[in-house]
Amino acid sequence: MNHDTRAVELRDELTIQTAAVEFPRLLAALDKNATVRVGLAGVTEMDTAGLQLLLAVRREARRLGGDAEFHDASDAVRAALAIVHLDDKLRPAGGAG
Amino acid sequence: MAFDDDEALDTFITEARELLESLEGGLLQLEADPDDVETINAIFRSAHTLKGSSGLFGLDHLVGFAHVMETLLGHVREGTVRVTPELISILLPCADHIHRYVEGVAEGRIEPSAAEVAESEALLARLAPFDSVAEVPAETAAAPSDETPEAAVPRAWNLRLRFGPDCLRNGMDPLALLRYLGSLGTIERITVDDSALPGASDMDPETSYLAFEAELSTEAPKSEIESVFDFVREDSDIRIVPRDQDEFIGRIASMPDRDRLGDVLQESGAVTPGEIDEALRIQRERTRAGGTVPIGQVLIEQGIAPPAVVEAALRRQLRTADSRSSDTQTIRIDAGRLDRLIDLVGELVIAQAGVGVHDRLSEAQSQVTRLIDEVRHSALALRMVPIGLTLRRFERVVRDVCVDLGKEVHLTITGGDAEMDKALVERISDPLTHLVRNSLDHGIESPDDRRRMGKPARGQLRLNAYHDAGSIVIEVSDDGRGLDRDRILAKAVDRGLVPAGAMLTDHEVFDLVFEPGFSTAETVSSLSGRGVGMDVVRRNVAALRGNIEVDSVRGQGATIRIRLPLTLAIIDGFLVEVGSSSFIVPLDRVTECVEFPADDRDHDHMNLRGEVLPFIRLHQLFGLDGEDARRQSVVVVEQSGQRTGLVVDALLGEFQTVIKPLGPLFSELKCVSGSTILGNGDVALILDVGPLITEYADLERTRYATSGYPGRRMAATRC
Repeated sequence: MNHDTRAVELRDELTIQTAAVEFPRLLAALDKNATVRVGLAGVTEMDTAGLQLLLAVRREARRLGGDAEFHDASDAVRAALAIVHLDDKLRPAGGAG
Repeated sequence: MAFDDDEALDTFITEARELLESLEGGLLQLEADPDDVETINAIFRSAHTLKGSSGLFGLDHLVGFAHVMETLLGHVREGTVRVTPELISILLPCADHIHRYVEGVAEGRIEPSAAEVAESEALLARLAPFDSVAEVPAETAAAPSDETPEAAVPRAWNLRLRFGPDCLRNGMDPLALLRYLGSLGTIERITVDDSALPGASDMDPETSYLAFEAELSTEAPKSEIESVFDFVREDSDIRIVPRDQDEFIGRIASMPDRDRLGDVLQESGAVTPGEIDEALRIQRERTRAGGTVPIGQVLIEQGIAPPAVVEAALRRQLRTADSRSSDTQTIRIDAGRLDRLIDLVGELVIAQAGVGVHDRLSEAQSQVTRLIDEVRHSALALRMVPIGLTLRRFERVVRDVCVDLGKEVHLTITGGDAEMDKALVERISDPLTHLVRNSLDHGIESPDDRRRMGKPARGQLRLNAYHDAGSIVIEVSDDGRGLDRDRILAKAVDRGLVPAGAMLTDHEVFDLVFEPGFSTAETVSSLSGRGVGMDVVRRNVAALRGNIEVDSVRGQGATIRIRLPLTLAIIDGFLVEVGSSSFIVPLDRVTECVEFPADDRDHDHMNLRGEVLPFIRLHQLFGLDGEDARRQSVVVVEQSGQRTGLVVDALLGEFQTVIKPLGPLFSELKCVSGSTILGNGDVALILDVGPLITEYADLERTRYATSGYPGRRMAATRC
């Protein structure tokens, strides 16, 4: 298994305003059996569109046999994820928050 | 103000009286069983309805007062205020207060009197401490019209949120809504459902695909949770379902009557008005598409309400329908119309009796006779009401008197469903009250005395009613000290009612307490107080063509038995002829008829199987013209165990008698209780046996005293 690892950094807003632009950019980073590391340190704002975008990217990566890993979530990202009880890796946080 | 409609006000007053009665009954019931949810609800409903209908008539005083009661009862219903004897002791006078005010309104006094205002303030002040225990938020207390019970207890809700595809584009951010949702309470659990996400190539990043499932614990009512999603409602699928369905099921079960399923669910708080509208819309669409679906099914299918809750609501709805149908089994009828109907039936009976005389052979005639008899029975039944309502009023009397006297008495009511004429029920109420008070006051001993005598401290009072051979019997029994035969007899001798040394049966002795001579205050204690106003009681009972008797065992209690006819309108009579006149003797008084012995013509008594039977010559008594018939008969009647004969010229047999009152002109006439019209159009007087015998006895006494022959002058004028 050829495990390719690529990195993408997201910056600024990750919202309905930017989703249309960011989505193709993230999809472009995906490839068969590749793991994409998505850095979230620079994200200053995230809404439902942003969350949906990250989930869609991860699903697509897995569909291609790879994965998407999220790291260095900024406070803004953590706060948004906390609302829906997801941790900074977008995994269910489990238990009450 | 809506006072132009007197009829409506009359209805209100009638209704208010009934409501107060059920309110009072409910409170007493509640005192016995403080956790009876049905009763609590019934009381609450009474207060609520009272408030509502008094509002229609602008009776502001009543609205304000009932409102406070209703609010407090609301807390009781929600369980935030406990039912205690103290609470009942304050609510009962409140009901009394309303009662007095309503009676005032009935007399045309809309504004409360100064005394009433003062009383109401005093009562409200006594209610206030109970209300504050409830610790209700001020706005709930101020907005009583909002019937939705919103208990401030955290409740768990399951939320399923699927937002519309365009919500992101429209600037709605579900995450923001969820964050706000969190501020209502605690989100115990939330999961993101991304199963609707399409493949990356088909996905529009600006379209919303996500759904959320959340579990929220909050004190907020459902409507408030729902309002979080107001802006996205349009094309979103928002489902908010209670986790703990039992609470709603319980609440639905204890809800006032509602006709519509939606109302039941909505009021329970399980479903919001918006959801109902939505379900109705879906139902309409489905109906248009060809299939009719019940709203309950739509609610379940759409996940708006859990099946168990819908089922509970359906059961509630059914119960409403049941109680509604039992409501319609009784209708309120103007008593005048009823009387008119009974009058007509009476005429029919009379007319039919006339036909019967002429043609006894026709079979059709006997059919008609039977039918008329049935019609008569059912027409009379219209006037019949169960006596239970009247008897239950005594719960209050017993309670109050016991509190006053410091006695413990348990009241048992049996036979409350025995029916009797409404007019009788109303008129027997006062004498009964008297008897009950008497029993409580003088019959049943104080707890200490009872213990000393080896009886349970708690006395027993029993009201019993039953039908017995065409009459209704009402018994008031107690297990108190009973009647003191010797003292009664001594008193009677003292008063000259009975000759000294007379041998009297127990029955005859006890009967003496009904003599007017026993009504003086000084005899109260010496005679166990049984004499107080008993003559009045007997007079009242006799006026209803009834009789009264006492059984008593010294030290063990007494039973007072009132026997009344079922109705005042028709009696079975015995038709006799004297000279050219006809008279009716109530059949139940007639024991037998014998031939008048020719050799006793000059006496005033005859020999009846070895006993002396005094008799009254009606011919002479009423001063009728004409000679006595050659062969006369004696109708033997019984009054208080004493038999008397009535000498008549001819016996014409049983006759169903419709009683026509004699009119005010003859109201002083004592021996005649009414008249009736015979089949041939003649009028016959109905003899009132009791007074007839006593009056005659008095006349005889006078006659002997003056030794003069009274001749005919005493006749119809005095008798």
